[in-house]
Amino acid sequence: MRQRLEGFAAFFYRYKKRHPKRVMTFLVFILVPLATGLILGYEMSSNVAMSIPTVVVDHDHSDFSRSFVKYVEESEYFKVVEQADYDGRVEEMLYRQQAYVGIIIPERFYSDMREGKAPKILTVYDGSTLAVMSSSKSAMTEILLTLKTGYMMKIYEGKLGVVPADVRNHAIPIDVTYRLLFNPTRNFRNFILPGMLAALIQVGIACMGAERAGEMREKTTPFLAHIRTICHWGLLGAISIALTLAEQYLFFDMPYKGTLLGGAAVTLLFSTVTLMAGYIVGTVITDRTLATQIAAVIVLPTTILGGYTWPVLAMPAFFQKLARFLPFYYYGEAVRNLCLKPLEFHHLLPAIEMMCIFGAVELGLLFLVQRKGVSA
Amino acid sequence: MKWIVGLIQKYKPILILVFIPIGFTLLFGGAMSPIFVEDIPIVILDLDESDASREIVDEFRACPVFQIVDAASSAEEIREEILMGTIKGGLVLPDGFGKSIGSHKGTKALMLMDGSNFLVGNNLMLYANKIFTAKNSELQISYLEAGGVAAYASEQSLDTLALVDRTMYNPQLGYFYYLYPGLLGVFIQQTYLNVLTPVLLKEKERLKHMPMDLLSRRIRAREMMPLFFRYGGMSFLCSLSCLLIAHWLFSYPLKGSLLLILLIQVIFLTCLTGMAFILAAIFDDVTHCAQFIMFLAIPTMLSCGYGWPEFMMAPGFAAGMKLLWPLYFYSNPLKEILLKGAGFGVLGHFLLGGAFFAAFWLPVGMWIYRGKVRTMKQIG
Repeated sequence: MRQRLEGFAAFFYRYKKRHPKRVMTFLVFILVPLATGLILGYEMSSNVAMSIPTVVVDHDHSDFSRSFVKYVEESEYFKVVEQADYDGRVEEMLYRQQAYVGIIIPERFYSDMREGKAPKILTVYDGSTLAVMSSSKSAMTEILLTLKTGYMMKIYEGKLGVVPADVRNHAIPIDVTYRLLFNPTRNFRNFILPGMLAALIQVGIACMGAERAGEMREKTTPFLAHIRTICHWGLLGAISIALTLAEQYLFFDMPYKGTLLGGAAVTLLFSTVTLMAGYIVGTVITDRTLATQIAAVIVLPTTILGGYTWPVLAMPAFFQKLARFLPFYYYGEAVRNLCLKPLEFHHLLPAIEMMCIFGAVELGLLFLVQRKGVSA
Repeated sequence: MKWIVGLIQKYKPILILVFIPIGFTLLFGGAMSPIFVEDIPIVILDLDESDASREIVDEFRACPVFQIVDAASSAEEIREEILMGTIKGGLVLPDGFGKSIGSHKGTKALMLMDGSNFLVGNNLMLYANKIFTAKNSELQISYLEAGGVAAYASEQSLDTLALVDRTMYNPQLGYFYYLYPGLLGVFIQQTYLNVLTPVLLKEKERLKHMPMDLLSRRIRAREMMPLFFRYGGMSFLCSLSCLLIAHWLFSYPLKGSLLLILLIQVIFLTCLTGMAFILAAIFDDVTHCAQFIMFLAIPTMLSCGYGWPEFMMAPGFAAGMKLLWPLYFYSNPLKEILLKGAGFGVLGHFLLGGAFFAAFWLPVGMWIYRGKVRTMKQIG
């Protein structure tokens, strides 16, 4: 066994030594992105926060409160992990991460409700885990709203003698339909993965750009040869993104609703623009490792600064302006929208236009750097 | 230019370990410092243009969360604008809206929201819901009073089953408050690995040329300890500085014990040292190794149970993740300490898990590293 392991290690070592570029290209563009997609896709199989551990304190013990707890238990969003008998237990369980939601039904709840004393059910949430918090709060609001509507309908029927056909109109004078378009179930995986996987690959693309520039420096080549290299490796980066999205589509039911042609165009442009950024860094900085690190450090924070999760419109003015200079600001939004929305080519034109501008500026910069022979 | 690069190369470990986490703390803290998402662009399609519908439109205008950018002419136009990304939502008030309310017949309204980023979608829904709930309550009170129910009794009826909620540990639901411990974990991981692994790679090259009999004596934890202490100490001081900066500039809560933070960081860095040995064994080129390390930030952050908690993970995933990568043992307890002031009793399983991880992976990492040096010597 040991001999076999050593044999494999020796073979791998020799192969890597002989073909470092081939091994790294496979690792950066194929193995790491696909393995990451597989790992994260499997991890988030449930798509949304379900069976959220919930603690209930029922001081009322009436049929009404019991049926309310049953209602919560039957909801797919909550899993009642404990029925406690004192309020402090809710805080204790939230503190210990044994529960994320607490429900406290006060004493005499039902009788107070019948006497019109407006008793209230207290819900307590753990705000330190936002993904759970947003699902649990909206699900709990829905449950209580349904109960309340039923209660108000009884009031109108009983106290005002409103005929059953009109009761609902009185209980809900304005019936609002809230339509969460394109991701109605708040699927977390579909929200986070398209852009995050692209963000992961963009790090590899930038590093590859820096490395290719280092190789090209050693040769005396015309400017056109640099462009050819950039296009070639930009295409590889785009293929890597496409493969990763295809993996999610094929194995994890991630939708892809947008235009294929537009998706291919914007992905290819984004990959080329990112590669060129790394290429410029690699042209200027002669130390290969430092160039790689700088290229990666430049693109890595764009995942957050590009507003993929925390929206740019919520950022202070300076960061809103800064985001407009980041290719990922346009691509992150575009790739998620391509997955979730039925985008047509013209919807992507603003992003494509911006990528072309970035490309032109970078090309000009690269030309200047090459011509003046800037290096450090 | 050359002297700047020279300076960077000379002080690279310090720059990476200290300035990158601090710089990113300032950058991300600044970007995510606003607590609320405001001025979300929406359009309104008021097909009624009655007093009642205008009242609703005015409520939307007055709410700071909405920024009414235009009036739409059809629901299709709203959808198209959402697809273009120029607006994030739209409100449709149908023809006869005011008349139906006046005649107690009940009316409808439609709120369209872009759900592709549900931080935005949820905010739109939350505040639109608040406006309509208030309006519905107002109308219900008027209906009840018109039916002869006393004002106090009508208000009480409406308050029954009203939702009273309390959010603990991050009451304003600040995004930076929630995310920062996870980010800090990644900063520490990335910078520490980026500094330590190249050193181990250079050491590997040196060891390759040593006689075989000296090999087992040379690669010992004792030899590596000063390095571990130097970089670990710098990393700890830097993370403390980051926390203080986050606290002073962005009002980040600092609860819990400093000793516990030190303890989880020592365990985490020991775990990472084991991982650094393995990476240094796999790679032979510093640049390639640095590229791979850069790749680790996003997958480890998304799979460590921070954004997607453990109970929501697919079967068997959490156990596998805890066996293979140590970020879980740092980011999660750090959040518990900082936001909840959690103590040893609550964090025991993180500390024990991290200690077991380090106790297993550090020697295994060194063993793999030594094996690689042997292979290199044999092949030449």
